[in-house]
Amino acid sequence: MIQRSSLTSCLPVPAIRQQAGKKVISMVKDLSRHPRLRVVLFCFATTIATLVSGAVQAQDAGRAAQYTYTLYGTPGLIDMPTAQSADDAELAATLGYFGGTTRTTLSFQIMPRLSGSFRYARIDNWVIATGENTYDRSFDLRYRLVDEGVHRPAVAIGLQDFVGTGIYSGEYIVATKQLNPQFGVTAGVGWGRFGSYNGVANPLGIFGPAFDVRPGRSDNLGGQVESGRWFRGDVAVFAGAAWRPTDRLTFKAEYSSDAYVAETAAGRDLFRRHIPLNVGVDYQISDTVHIQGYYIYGSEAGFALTYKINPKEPLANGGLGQRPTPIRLREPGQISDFAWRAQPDASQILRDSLARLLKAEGMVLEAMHLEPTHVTVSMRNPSYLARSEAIGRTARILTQVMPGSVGAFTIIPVVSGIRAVAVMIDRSDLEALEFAPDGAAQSFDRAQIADAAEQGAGSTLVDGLYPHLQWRVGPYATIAYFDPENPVRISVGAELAAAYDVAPGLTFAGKVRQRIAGNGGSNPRVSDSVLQHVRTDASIYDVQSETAITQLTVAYQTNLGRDFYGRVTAGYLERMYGGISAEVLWKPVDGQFGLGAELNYAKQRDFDQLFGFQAYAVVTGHVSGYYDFENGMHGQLDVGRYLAGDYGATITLERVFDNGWRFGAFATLTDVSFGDFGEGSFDKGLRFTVPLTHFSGSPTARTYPVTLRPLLRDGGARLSVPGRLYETVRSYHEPSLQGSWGRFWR
Amino acid sequence: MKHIRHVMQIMVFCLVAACGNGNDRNLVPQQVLARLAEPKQTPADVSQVRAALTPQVLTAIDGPVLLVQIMNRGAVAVLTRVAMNGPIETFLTPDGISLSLHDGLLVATRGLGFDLMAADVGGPLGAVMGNANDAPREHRYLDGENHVSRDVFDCIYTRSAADHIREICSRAGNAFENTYIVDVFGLVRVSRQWVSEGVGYLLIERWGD
Repeated sequence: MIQRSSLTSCLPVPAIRQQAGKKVISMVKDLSRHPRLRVVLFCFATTIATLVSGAVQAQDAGRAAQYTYTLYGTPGLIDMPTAQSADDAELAATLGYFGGTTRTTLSFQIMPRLSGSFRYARIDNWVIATGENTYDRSFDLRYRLVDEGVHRPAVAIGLQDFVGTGIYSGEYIVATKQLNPQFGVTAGVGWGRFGSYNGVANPLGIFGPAFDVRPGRSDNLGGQVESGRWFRGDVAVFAGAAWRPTDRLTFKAEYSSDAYVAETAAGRDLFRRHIPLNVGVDYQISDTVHIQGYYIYGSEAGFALTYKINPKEPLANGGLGQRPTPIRLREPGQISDFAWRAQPDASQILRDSLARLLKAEGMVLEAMHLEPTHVTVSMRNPSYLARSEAIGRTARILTQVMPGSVGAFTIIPVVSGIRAVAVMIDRSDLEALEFAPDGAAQSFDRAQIADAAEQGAGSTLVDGLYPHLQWRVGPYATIAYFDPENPVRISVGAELAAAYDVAPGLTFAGKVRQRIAGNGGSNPRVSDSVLQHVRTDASIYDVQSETAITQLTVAYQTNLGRDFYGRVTAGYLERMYGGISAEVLWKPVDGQFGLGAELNYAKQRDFDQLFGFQAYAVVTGHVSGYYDFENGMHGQLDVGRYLAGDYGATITLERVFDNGWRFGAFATLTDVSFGDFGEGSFDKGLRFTVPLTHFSGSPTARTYPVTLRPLLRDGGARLSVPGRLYETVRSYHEPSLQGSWGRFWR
Repeated sequence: MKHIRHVMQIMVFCLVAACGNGNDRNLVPQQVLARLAEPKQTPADVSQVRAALTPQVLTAIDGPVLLVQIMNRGAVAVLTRVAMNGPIETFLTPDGISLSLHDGLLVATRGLGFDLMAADVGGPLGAVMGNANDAPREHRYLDGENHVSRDVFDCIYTRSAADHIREICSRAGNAFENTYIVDVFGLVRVSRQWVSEGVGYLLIERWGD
């Protein structure tokens, strides 16, 4: 007979010994009957805190890196680069200052050999007539051509400031040799900035006179690739050395080939360049923080601070989440015992037990369909970013709950009403592979991963899920960058968010914000855009909306059929637009390729972000192709009509890690001319997704997406719609599931 | 009046820490607050815990008990056996940690962070029982990207006494030393076993059978 178990969330589940026709016994209940055992239980309670702090310490004792970062925020010496690459995937933010120049740089080791940087620099007194400062954005790329060998140095080639306004533009080829683990030397040749001191005629001149002179910057608004200037003009030599007497301390010296012509020009006089030599010291405070002090060009003190983080090094590998439920082995005879079917409430009891055990591990049972030898379970997973872990934990719990005759499990993760995938697992495989050394690979091979559109028919929904109101009150903060008047605009306040689930897939959602403090509400920047101001009035929205409805929508998402998903969203879609949005996505569960189409009617909202609308309305939409290259790279191409009515395409490339981190870049070209677009020429930017669990170790699916645009203009602007389909299903589909399948047994 | 004060307190808390009826694990400030609020506990004294494991207690628990110290975290825990899969026993603490042993040799941990995901100890088991002087040992871990990594160690076995076995395992630039004390029935009674770089050694005492 099946009975209700009295287990709760903090008790060891597997203590149930469920035997056909016998009582369900919980060892935990037995424990609680013996007061003496409270001593033991008390001892249990003392473990966790020490474990958590211990794990943190364990990570602190990491290794020190061979390389350091420059004032430009790139791996190198002081102002000059080296041929070294950072550790793969390292992200480093550097704030550097000397001689009236402040550079904030974000560098990312895109691939083991390729790295890129985005820089936002402030140079004082730039406009000679008025003494105004300038704010300059620049992008770099570096590629390590040759690895260091026993006798051979590493060699790298780099482009600095290759799409910006060109203030820092320069190219170089550099070689670095580590003579011993403590001492490395570097020498290189440079063009542009790196060829401005003691330059000689360009040897590339043999390929044609075009190489002899570096042309001036083409007359444009910045943001374009200036390939016509690369490796042109005079060339000069730079060199340097780094000595690392201890793991944490590095002394650096260099001979710089940058003459700082512009900065030292009469009228600017930011500093005096007495000698071409720079010296400095880098001290690594912790695994993640370096401080640097410099004496520059015989006249100036400089300093820099670098914070670096590597997505491959979370707080704890595998996370600090609690243990999963052990597999319950069936006893001989249970497999063919169908006696439980005679019990009328068996299905209800099993559903309740399953719901409770899933909840204890952070998941929600949505529906269940029980057959004599097969169970189909639909569940929601708000906790595990490694989706395989949610599936594995659900499968383990099923071995505890289900009668022995139920030998096949179908597990369907449900995301906002969409059945993302169906994973079919044979119970006997779970029993056989729980401790198999290569259990991860084998369990993936034996699991069947299928489309879920036609799965789960006849399931009984769990009571209390529909209708259901979920709400939250909490703080919010928004940060806008790169406004020269206020380089960082911050608003903080309180946010009320609520979601009301009416039926599977049908949800009303809203967010209201009350600004309390910050400089986001002052000095709106007046837009000079000649296009419809579809985005450039952002700061007016900031100023005029102390209380703002940032979202108020009704949305319906569903599986349209095999490999097809659909969504309709209507209401106040985002802070600047309301309207209606419809989307269809085709994405086979085992495919690398997906294709989607979205059509929206959007009307611009009033600046106060309450209920009113402005006159401007537009039909916008895209056809989108998604491709998972299965080497960690993801591509997306969107072709269609943008908010200002312009037609064009956006290309996005991202490196996607199997632990949830993502780094990418995007660019949009439309039929808006570079001149009409204004500063920056076209829309482009960087995109990151940061998983919270990297820092906390705890099981949470929460991620923080960040989009960094050097300039937000009106051309190539897209509507922001919550709940787009591809990201709803992607992480549950096969390429992504397979990548993190190691966590199936976590 | 009192109600109003309560409401005010809750509102202030919500502003600082976020609150709601949803999944609490996803609220960051609460996680941070939970960290801050964690009492600074002094590690439990092993001898006190050992003293608490009286014969009556052990009888009541019904089944073997592990007394485990995580050596470089100063943590002590008592684990009870809750599952068996063939020769592999799984022991739990109620606070979310499990250890699985194959005839006394650790083959899996969960909930520690830097867990041992799986181990092939076929060779070491024979060596501990005295059938060989060396054996390979294979460990599986998750790396920071959730990929499974496989580490193979070469181990050699020495006996300082009939029941006292030393296992020294090494692989490129990495070594550990486990010890086992085996009783007359061939059961590992006391052992020191290495889990991973991040966890270090566990000191495991087996009680109650």
